[in-house]
Amino acid sequence: MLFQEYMELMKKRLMNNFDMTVPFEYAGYSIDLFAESHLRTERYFASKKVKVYGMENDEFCFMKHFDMITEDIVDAYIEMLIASIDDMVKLREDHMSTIITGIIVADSVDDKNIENVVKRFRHQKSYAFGLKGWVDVRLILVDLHGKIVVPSKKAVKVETFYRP
Amino acid sequence: MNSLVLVLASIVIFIVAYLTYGRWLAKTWGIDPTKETPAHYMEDGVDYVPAKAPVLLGHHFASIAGAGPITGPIAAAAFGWVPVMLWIVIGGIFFGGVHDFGALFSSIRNDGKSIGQVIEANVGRTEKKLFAVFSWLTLVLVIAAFVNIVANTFVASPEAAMASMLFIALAVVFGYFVYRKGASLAIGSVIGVALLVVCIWIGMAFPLVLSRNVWIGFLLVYIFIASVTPVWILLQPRDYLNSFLLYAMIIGAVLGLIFYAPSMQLTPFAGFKVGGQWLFPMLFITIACGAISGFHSLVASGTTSKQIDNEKDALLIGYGGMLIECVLAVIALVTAGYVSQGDFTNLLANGGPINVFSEGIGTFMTKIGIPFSVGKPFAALAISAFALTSLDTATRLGRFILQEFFEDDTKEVQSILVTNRFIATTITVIAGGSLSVVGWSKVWPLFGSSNQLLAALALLALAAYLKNNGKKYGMIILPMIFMFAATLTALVLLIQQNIAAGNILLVAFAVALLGLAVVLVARSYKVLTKKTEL
Repeated sequence: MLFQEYMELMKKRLMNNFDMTVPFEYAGYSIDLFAESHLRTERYFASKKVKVYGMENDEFCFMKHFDMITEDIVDAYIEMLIASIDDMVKLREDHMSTIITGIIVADSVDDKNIENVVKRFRHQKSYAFGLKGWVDVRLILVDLHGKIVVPSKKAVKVETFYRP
Repeated sequence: MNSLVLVLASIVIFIVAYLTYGRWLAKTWGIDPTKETPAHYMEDGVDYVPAKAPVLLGHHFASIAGAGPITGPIAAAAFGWVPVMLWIVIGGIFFGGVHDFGALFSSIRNDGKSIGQVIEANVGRTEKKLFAVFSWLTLVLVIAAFVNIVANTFVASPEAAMASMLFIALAVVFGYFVYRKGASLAIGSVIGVALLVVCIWIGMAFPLVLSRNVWIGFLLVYIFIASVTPVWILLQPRDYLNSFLLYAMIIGAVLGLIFYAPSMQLTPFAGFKVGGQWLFPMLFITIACGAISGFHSLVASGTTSKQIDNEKDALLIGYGGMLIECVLAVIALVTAGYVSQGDFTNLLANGGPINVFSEGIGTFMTKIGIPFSVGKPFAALAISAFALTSLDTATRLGRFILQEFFEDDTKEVQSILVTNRFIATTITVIAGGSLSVVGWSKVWPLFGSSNQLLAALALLALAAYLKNNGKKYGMIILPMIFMFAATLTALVLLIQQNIAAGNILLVAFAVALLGLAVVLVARSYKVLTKKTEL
């Protein structure tokens, strides 16, 4: 599968729940597809006028295609994702969780070390021991040629969603 | 199925249960009307104050009821009305009633001290400390949640705010005249209830508009005062007078149902898995008040046991109070069940279970000539008044538990630092207030499981007490095992879901609760099987 085909496929899958920006310049990267979702849930007491509490769950996806992929490239991309936390997480009163998903798309992946880096990756940060919410960074490696998705630990549940 | 048949049949079953099983429990446990109660031999004019049975029933009922018996059955109605109905009836009679009555009885026989003290006397001191920490944290969470609920309600409904403020003033006047001026309780009650109506009218005419932050500040000051002042001047009379709102609501709803008698449209049984949730354990966690709730044991062994005038009143207040709550839960179920699925979903989305309930009560009351525009706000006002009742009682209970935690029976003079009621209240209010401002909603999902774990642990303490005192305790075993099974399963599911979601704080609390339960069960098992000597 070609990257453009994959991107169109992902746009279709994301369009119901995400706002998308194509392309998106961020931290020196030209991100091919940036998607964001902001979900707010509220609990009421007796009427909609009395909100008991609200929960806000945000999700950001950074999808980037690389012609050639190395461990250094993956490490640098991970660094960028972690650094993006400061920009993406907005600690509002009802903030519960933010998920930042980095999707690295490559034409083919032959290096097992890269796969291991992705599989082992895990990054989480809590605010005020979780009372102000938390952020999770997860990573997805997509091999277009082999039609394989390698997820980080926290990304396993969305593996099928990103399958080419 | 006709909803009127459902309500009337349940009332008949509860009356029969009270007269048979309730009385059997009283006889089996050895309720002794001639035995002096802690309210008399420890009377201090602050916490230990003898109260007449109807007054104490009102206080106890208002404290345990809150919004719980309404929200639980309506939220669980997704599983269908039959399992909800069965759990309310069976749970109320054989689980909740036994739990509340037993907690009250064992506390009376332990100087009116909390369940923690019963655990210390019958299991061990370390176990008491563990239980006290757990129950205090649960109460802090309740305070945090209800400060928000009440403050938000007052902002959205300034009429309810004004009426609630006037209820407080009315309670003080009522308490002063009845307890200090010797006014007749019957006449005082009639005048008090009439003035309640006047308070509601004034509230409608002169709404009190204040900001949310001002209300939060006011509420924190109020719960401090309600916790430290003598129980007869504010807490108990306010609860007693408020209970008439609930009685009026129940009577109005039943009378309306007699003339209306709608059929249940809700599906009788929706399946064992609904919306990704399994009937077991979720039904038994969602419906707490109305079947069995751990919070009740804290009330029964906290404020109620210190005011009971005669041991024989324990049956009416402990067991009877629970069964009245069950009637309210059945009515709540009917308000969810008589409307179409579409209306039910719409009402839920526009205000949650309380909106479903208020709409139903308002509709039922139109059948006895009360306009819907009066009936629905009245139901909502009554429930919001009870949110404040749960809040002030929870603060006082938190204070008791903190005081008992640091009390050392071997010392004649106690450390003033936290056994002092002002300091213990200050700590409790600051903890609850802080959590109410920051992040209480992140750990609120834990409340259902922790509340029901509290119930299981209270049953455990009761079983140990009965066993150690040579009394039959077989009626405790099945409810206790069932509640442990339900709560521990729910905790495991909660941990699984929140590990996946990444809510580490909630996972940490849930794991701590699991650990606590295992330790207490292991220690109590030894007591119950008499394998070790204490």
